[in-house]
Amino acid sequence: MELKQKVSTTGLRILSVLDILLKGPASKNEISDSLVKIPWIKNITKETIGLDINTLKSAGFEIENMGKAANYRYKINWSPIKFKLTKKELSVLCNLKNAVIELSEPYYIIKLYRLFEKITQFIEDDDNINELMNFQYFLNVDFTLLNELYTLIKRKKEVKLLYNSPDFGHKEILIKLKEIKYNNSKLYLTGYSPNYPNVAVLRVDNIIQVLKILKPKEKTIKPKMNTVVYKIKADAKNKTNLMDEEKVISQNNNFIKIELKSDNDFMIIQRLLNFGSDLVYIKNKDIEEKYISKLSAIKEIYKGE
Amino acid sequence: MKTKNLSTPLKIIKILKLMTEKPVALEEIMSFLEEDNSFVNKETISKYFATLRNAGCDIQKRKNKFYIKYPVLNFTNTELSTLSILQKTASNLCSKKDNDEFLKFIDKLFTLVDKTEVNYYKNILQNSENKSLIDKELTNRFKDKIETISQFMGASAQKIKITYQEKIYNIIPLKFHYFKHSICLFGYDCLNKVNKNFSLSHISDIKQTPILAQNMDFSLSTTFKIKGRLKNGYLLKEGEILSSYDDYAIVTNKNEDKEVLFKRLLKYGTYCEVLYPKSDREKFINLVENLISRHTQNA
Repeated sequence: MELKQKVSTTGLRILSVLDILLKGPASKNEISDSLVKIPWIKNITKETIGLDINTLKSAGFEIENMGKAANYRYKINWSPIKFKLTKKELSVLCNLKNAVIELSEPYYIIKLYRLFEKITQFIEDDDNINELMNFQYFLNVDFTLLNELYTLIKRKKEVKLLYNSPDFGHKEILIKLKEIKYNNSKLYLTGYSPNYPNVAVLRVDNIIQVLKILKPKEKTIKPKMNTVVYKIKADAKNKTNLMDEEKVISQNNNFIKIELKSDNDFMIIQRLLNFGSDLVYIKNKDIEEKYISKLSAIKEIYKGE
Repeated sequence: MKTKNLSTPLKIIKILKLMTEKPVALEEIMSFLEEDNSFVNKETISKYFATLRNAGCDIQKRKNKFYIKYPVLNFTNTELSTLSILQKTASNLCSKKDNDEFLKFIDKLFTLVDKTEVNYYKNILQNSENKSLIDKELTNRFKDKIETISQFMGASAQKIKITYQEKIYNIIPLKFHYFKHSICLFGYDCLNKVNKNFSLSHISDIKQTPILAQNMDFSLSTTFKIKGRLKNGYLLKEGEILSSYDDYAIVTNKNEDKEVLFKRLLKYGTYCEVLYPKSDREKFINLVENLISRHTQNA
């Protein structure tokens, strides 16, 4: 096939080599196999491909030969084909990303992270890239492990985890997986474990690996579900998101009455503390006592002032 | 000394790089190449364009400038769907001006994306399954306030005077915080020298002041000590500085709304102690005492 317009055939061949390498690593043989499919490119030798790769290097592409183990494939590590973001565009994108982190489900946040990872390869300026890729808490999460946990939860598995406990360092935990929850911009794995009297709540970024997948035992002793009723100032709803487990029972201009069902008293108390002075009333006496006791312990730290 | 002239392929790649950065006029391309002692005429550039077109680039002339689309970025359908959700969220969440900026970014991005993928993207934008992450009704409710405040944010930030729950505040607007049912303006309260969240539903008046926002390095930081398991697992928030010691760590928090910060510190229980400034320490102790007193009375 002849080209209708006057073109630079060498230029066209090099652009084709570039196109192949931008799609992924390729060896000289693989590049050659792809090039022969293009009708106007003839007489491709390994030497020509080598020269073309050198031309691309001179144009600013960082190309690496991956060595014997990777069949001497060439890989583009850095490409000068990039676009610039203006300050305003960067600021809008970062605000949007932060809003997504505040509002969205972890599943979408991770997908957005992966998408930004791809896009930022084509963005100039490392500072801009760093700002865009700052996904706060999610930078500490191993997405492969998270995917594995999601799959195991779906299959209702019992597993042995290696966990980096803030108290005791690395330890093994046997747990029947329940769910992954996104709360206060952090991910938690919950489940039933003989190591914990209540429901076990483990921060996902502290989980190192799944050591073993076990067949679930026939009976899991589930902790008792507690229903707590409390009242918060009506304005508090403007400053926080209610959790999925929280149900508004009634509300007026001044107060909102909420019912929270949970099998973990520790989480309940944490939630109540998180309302600060917006919490006006707790109906359940046992929970209220635990709440006051926690506050009294804090007060002890400042004793004498 | 005579500089070696660039080879044709190198010139083509240089032109490609230049055009992906911004639309350019023919003269700009010529003078760009002249910097490398490569002198080319219009006919040669036309040959280079033909080469680029044959390699899959779409080059179009608009108002004397050449625009290139070089499809090197391949998105999967899932990635395009993720992007469409982001675009829908931007249109619901951002002011008109900011949304235009987002669309400019999309235009730039799509200069590197294949036409088929762009068309697929346009189709899924119409798809009702990919919903915005924020309710249009919520942003509509505050649309005017967001538009007004947005003008005074960013590089040309200006102090504004707001009436909030019947009190007047002089603030430097910093950003918006989004919740499922509300939106807050996060700003620097100039009088109290703290950052604070202002729920948009309680802002009744916004007035521009002629004062430009200046460096906010003088805002009062809160310093607290963390220990035990909290020290081991603590994740720094934006703008926090941590100094670690053997048994404890000292955290300085500059950015967070004090009310939000204190609520967070309450959750840390006995693993945390507010140190400085004295006024914050006293406020925190008061908060704890008031809560104990309120709930003891209830009991």
